[in-house]
Amino acid sequence: MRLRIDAASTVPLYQQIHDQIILGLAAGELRPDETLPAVRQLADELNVNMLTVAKGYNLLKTEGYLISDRRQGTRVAADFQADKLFMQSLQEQLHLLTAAAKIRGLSVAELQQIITTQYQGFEQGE
Amino acid sequence: MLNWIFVGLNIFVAVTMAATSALPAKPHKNVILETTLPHNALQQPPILALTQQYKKQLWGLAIFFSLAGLPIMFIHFDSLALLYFTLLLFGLIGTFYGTEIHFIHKMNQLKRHQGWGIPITTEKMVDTQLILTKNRRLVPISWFGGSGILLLVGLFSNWRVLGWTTSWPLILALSLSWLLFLLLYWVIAALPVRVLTAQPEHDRLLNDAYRQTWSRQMVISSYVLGILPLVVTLTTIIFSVMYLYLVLITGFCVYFIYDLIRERNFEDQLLGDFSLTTTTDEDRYWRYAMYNNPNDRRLFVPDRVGVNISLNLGRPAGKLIGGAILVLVLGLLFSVIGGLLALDFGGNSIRASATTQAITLKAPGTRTSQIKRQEVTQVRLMRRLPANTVRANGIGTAHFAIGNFRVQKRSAKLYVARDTGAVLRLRTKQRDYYFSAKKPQETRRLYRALH
Repeated sequence: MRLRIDAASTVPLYQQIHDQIILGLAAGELRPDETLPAVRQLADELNVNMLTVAKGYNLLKTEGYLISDRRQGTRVAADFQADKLFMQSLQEQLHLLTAAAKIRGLSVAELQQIITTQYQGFEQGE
Repeated sequence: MLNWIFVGLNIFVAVTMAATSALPAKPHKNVILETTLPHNALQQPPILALTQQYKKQLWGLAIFFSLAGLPIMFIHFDSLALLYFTLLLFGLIGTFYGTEIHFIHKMNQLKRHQGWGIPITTEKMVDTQLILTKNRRLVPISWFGGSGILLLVGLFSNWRVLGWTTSWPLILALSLSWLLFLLLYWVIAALPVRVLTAQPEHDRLLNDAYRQTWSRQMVISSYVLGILPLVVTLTTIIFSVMYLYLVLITGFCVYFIYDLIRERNFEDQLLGDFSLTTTTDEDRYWRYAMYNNPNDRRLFVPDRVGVNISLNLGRPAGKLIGGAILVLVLGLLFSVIGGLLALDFGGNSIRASATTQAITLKAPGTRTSQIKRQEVTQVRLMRRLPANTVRANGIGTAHFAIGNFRVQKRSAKLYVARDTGAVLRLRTKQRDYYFSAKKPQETRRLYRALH
């Protein structure tokens, strides 16, 4: 997958790496079990600190998107489950976003339409 | 002979400078004369007119400097010929460089005037699959093994034939140069992969071709260098081996330039067919063909002309390496000129003295020799140097032979002004010493004192 980061963005670099990999997975640019560059390798290529990449990777590992071992390096997990922890996190994030949408006057149908479009976009590999 | 070499070399440098300075005028990855332009602006008439004017000026300069080098033929003194050649070389490089800077300014002005500025992007893009396999077409590092063995065998033969005192500068210089090629190979392997087109497979082709070309060149260079000590040893037996080596060097240089230009054309063709997705305006880091970006951790970066690797002067190590190379080159050049000036105009510059204990031989550009009298097994006065005289390291011109040589298959140290009609040979167990002062009566006086 093609990974973009912007050094001038207000979003921390590790967060950008984290978000980009999740977006790549959803769009099918990254496949389950696909190997990713090692922390040092990616840091060298992006010209950023190793700790930045390690932080992004560690967050993804905690969330179950990546796995790593000494022999095979860092890989995308083979399968993903909507487990209890994920569902809880999803609820929390959606709760806040739904609240913000309601404040700005969006209807339930409009909100549903936005989610449907986004979801379909990932299915089409956008 | 030396004067003809200088004249030929001057013409070669002038033509090479014109040809290489013209390269930045050909667009490469949207960069023309160090100025990043939008893709559609590259073929605009004002751009074409400016690059044409630039190229015309370069070839005019090449003709001017080629003609300016011709008077070297009539200079009798080696030192003055070398001084004239060096000053001309500095003038030539300075003028070509100044012309390039002048036209970079003009191109920048044109860019501003036409409103062709590109928004500065701080975004970086990498391809994770490309990173994982970026060095798949790199020539294997094991290929350096052969050149390393050649070098070791050659250096060993140098040590055996020429002796340690004569061969150590050669051993040091060649070992360091060989290591430099290995270092550059490592630099090429470590360079980041670039995302340039919208198609990952095209990026892969560009990346593979770039790394393969450069790693191959480093390996070939290591072989051309690795064989040199063997050639030096062989020249002490058959001198014509040196001419074969010169043919090899010339062939290698032609192939090197051809290969890099072929690689650049391949990149341009591919990038022309598939326009760039990332047009990063790095103009602010490139100043007059030098890269200076303190925020970039890389020490070496691919240049923007597409046929070179540049040093990042923004890093302390970059400044240190750049400064050290400059000091080394200038120091070497001026020490040779200084030595030759002292030989030509230093009056009694090649001199000897003898006491009851030792004989001292002195000349500019080489170490003073102190020979104990009891070590001298034979003293002989000759009319001229033997024909079988090969230079190992030192000064060897039409007028002087100073330094370490191999004479009649024996290691020798020479302090000789040529064609004076009197050459003194002192033979010791380890090596011979040849002495000939500028005035032959001084050589004969020493002979009488020792005989």
